[in-house]
Amino acid sequence: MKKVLALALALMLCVGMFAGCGEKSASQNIEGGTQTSDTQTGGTSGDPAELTLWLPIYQFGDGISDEEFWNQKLDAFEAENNCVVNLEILSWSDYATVIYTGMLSGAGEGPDVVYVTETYDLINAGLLAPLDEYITEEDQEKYVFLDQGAYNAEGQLCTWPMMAGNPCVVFYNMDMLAAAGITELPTTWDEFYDVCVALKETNPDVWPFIQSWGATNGVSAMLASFWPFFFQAGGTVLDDQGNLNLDSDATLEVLNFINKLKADGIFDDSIVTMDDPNGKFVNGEAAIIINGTGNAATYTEQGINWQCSLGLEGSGGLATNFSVDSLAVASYCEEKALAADLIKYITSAECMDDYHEQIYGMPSLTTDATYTEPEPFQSMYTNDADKMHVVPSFEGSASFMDQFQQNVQGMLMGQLTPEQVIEQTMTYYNEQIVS
Amino acid sequence: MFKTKGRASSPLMRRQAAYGIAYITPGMLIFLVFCIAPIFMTVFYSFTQYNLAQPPEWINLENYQKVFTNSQLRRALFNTVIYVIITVPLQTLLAMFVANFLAEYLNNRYGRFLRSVIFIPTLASYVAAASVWEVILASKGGLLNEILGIFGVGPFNWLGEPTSALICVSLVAVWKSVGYFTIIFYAGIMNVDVSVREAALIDGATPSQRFWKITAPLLKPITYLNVTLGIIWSFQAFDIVYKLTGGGPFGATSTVAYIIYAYAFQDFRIGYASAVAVLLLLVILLVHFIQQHFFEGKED
Repeated sequence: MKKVLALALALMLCVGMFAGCGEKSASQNIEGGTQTSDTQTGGTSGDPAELTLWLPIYQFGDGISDEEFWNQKLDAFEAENNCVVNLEILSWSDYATVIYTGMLSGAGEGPDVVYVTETYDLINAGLLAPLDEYITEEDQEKYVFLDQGAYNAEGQLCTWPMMAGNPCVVFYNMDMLAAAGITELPTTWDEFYDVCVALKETNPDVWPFIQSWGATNGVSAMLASFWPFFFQAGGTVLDDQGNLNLDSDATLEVLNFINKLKADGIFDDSIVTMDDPNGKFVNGEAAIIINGTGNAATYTEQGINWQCSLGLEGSGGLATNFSVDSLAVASYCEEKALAADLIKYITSAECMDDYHEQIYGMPSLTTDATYTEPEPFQSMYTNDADKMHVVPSFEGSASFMDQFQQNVQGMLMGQLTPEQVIEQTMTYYNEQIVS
Repeated sequence: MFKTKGRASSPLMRRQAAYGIAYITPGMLIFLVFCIAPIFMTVFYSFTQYNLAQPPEWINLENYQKVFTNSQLRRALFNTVIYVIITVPLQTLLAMFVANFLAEYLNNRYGRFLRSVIFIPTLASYVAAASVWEVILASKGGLLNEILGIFGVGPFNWLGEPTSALICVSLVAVWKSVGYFTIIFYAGIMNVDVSVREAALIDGATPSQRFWKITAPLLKPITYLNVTLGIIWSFQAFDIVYKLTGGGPFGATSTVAYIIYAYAFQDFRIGYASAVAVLLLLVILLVHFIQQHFFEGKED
């Protein structure tokens, strides 16, 4: 009897394992997210069209959940368009991997409309449908960040910005500046350098300006430490043919400036370690930091007397970088026009005003929106949106940035020159990364 | 194991064999699906260009050609070997000494308490452990520099200098794992026949002689296990590096496992990352065979 029981249990284990490897059912949870399809439609003609929508979680507080919010909003779209939208809210854990594998699975398994962060491989693989034919003149006037989406090799827009903002701005600790006799914020690189020197002379125990070249990876390191300066130097990440354009004068100009800051003691040796620069600014150990506007609330909460400017004026003028994540339509989607309408609906003021109020505050996407960011950031979006640049996705970008970060560390340790940083990074990129 | 060579199996033996197979089938299936199959898949992907967004495309040895000319990888492999050379002997010897001390001199409630204390770092997550050490090793205001400062020494940029960064990462890894290996050694020592140690004691052997002539030789199977595990885990070092130095400065602490992660899960260059993973597997196997030969040779 015992043997029979043991055999039955062994059999159950085997069956369970094979069942676990089986096809995902429509109502199955995926990767920490949830699927909330209320209605499943058949495949017969006359049935409402069906779209699958994948969005990431953005509610990190106690308010209404993403799922509840979108289900309420999507009811109106479904009724108006006689369709069913199967919504899946995904966690951020391995988000890009989930998206890639989901889209590779194709129709029936993957999403029709999807929120994308990394676009190069998806566009290169032809998995994202061009959206140009669905964009009207009215859309072009109404959607502020539309041209910041990602394009394919033919120059067709393949992604539609949904979350655009958090530009890297320069935060100043005004108490520290006042102690150094500085009352006006610097506007150019030269003025900025002078301010750093003055801060250093007034209080040698604090960091006048802090960067994070020891960050966990190159993407994080370059975000606030390189790209703002690069755009201020007039750099463009990709050339007209879509090739990487970082072996440029702009890159050299930035590296020379960073090298000068290190050589003149504005940065100390800890700049190549993982010491948390934001923590130093919050603790009043650093006077200046370049960081996303999303950190402003923390600085205020911590009692930092701060002011900020969008950026500095380099040889290419005033500029900085900001983030754009977008929605896209899968190329295998059978209802592309409907999918494009869904994107427009999601990014409309009707949805996004409430979304920004209830789920996650970001700059408004359309001219008719009523939601406003706190000052001084709203003014920046209103007056200087054209000075904010997005770093486009390119082949092997993460590996490239890792290598670039590593070589900049070498430069800051006195082992490489700025020219060698560029030369060695580009050689590595061309020999090892580009397919 | 179920069939005796040269003899016809009886119905009883066949039935027993059937039961045996049935019992181990779930475990074997799990092992095949989650351990063996991924190895073969990794080998297959290593010959392809694959980025998750497109089906794998067969490209022969192109990934391997790139891997062998990759200076970043060469450096990571060098760092990994240094890391293994520092961590494995240190954690093994330290664990052996501590276990012997606990077994010989502190086999009481204080010893039990000390065993628990030594084991605590093993229970802590790598991220938590690295965060603590980040504070200790910080160049400005770090605990270690503050203590050294009392004696007028330093400050040192522990994680900002290539040599000291790799040594620090290795020592933190030793700190993290020594408790685990201590417990295994301790269990091994407690299994040594008491009469053997008592005989040595009666014969007038010194503590040093008892350790080197009695305990250490008898612990050889345990040492083999600990060294094997230590080498494999050290070659796979990732978490502590990722959190403590991010592979820097200037690539001084980048390890092969860290490179595999970056290629596979930051850039989705699955084929290329698989080729590096296969290379790492071969290196580990090679080291393991050398180690096996070394231990067997000693036994002979």
